[in-house]
Amino acid sequence: MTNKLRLLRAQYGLSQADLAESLGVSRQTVNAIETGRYDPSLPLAFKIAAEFGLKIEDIFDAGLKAPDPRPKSNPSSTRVR
Amino acid sequence: MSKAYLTFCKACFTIENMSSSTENSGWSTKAILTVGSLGDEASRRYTNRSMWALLAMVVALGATAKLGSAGKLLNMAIPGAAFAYIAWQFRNYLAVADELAKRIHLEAMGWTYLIGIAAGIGLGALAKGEGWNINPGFIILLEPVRAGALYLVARRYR
Repeated sequence: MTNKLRLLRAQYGLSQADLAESLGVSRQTVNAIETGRYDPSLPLAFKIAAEFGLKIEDIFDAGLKAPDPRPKSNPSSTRVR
Repeated sequence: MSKAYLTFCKACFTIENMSSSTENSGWSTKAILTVGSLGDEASRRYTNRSMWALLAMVVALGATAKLGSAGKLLNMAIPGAAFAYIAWQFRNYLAVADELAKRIHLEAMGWTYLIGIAAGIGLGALAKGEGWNINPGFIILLEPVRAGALYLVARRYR
C-alpha cells in the first residue's frame, strides 16, 4: 500500500515527531508508515486522515480498482418471480 | 506558475531537508539487545521496574538463604514471585505501547515461542534418552532468543 503521508507532512511543515505526538504513536511508527513498511490499523488511518482534513483514500492507495458501477437495468427484468 | 506547483516544490524541498538521520533511524538497537525492549518511554519504565525486581530478588534470596525450613520455602517462592511481577509489568507495557511496537513484540514472542517449543521437545527427548538432568531454570535462555527475534523483526520496520 502506498501513501502520501511524507508529502502531506512536508506540506504542513511537521516533523515525524510532531505528527507522531499528535497521533499518539511513536515516531518510528510514522516512519514505518511513510516508508510503506507498515500499514496502519483502521483507527490510526482515520486519525491520520482527520489530522490532515482528508479522506483515508486521499492519503492511502491500496492499488485496488473501484468496481464499475452496475448499469441501471430495467426493474421489471430483475424482479424475482 | 500555478500555486499548486509552488506548493509541490516547497513540499519536495522540505522532504529533502527532512531526510536527516534522526528521521530515518529506527528502534534502539542497544535497548533491544541488552534488555529486550524497544527503548521507548513505556519500555524504559518496564525495564527499570524489572531491574528493581531482579535486584530485590537477589537481596531476598541472600537474606532467606541462611534461614531454616521456613526460609527454604520462601527461597523457593521468591524467583517465581519476582518473575510473575516482571511478566505483569511486561503486560502493562504492551497495554500502552503503540500499535507498531505491539506488533513487533508479538511477532518476536511468536518466534520465541516456536523456537522454545522446538528446543524444549528436542532437548527433552535428548535428556530422556541420555539421562541428563536439565535444570528447568534454563528456560530463562529464551529471553536472549526473544531479544534476538525482536532485533530481527524490528529491522523489518525501519
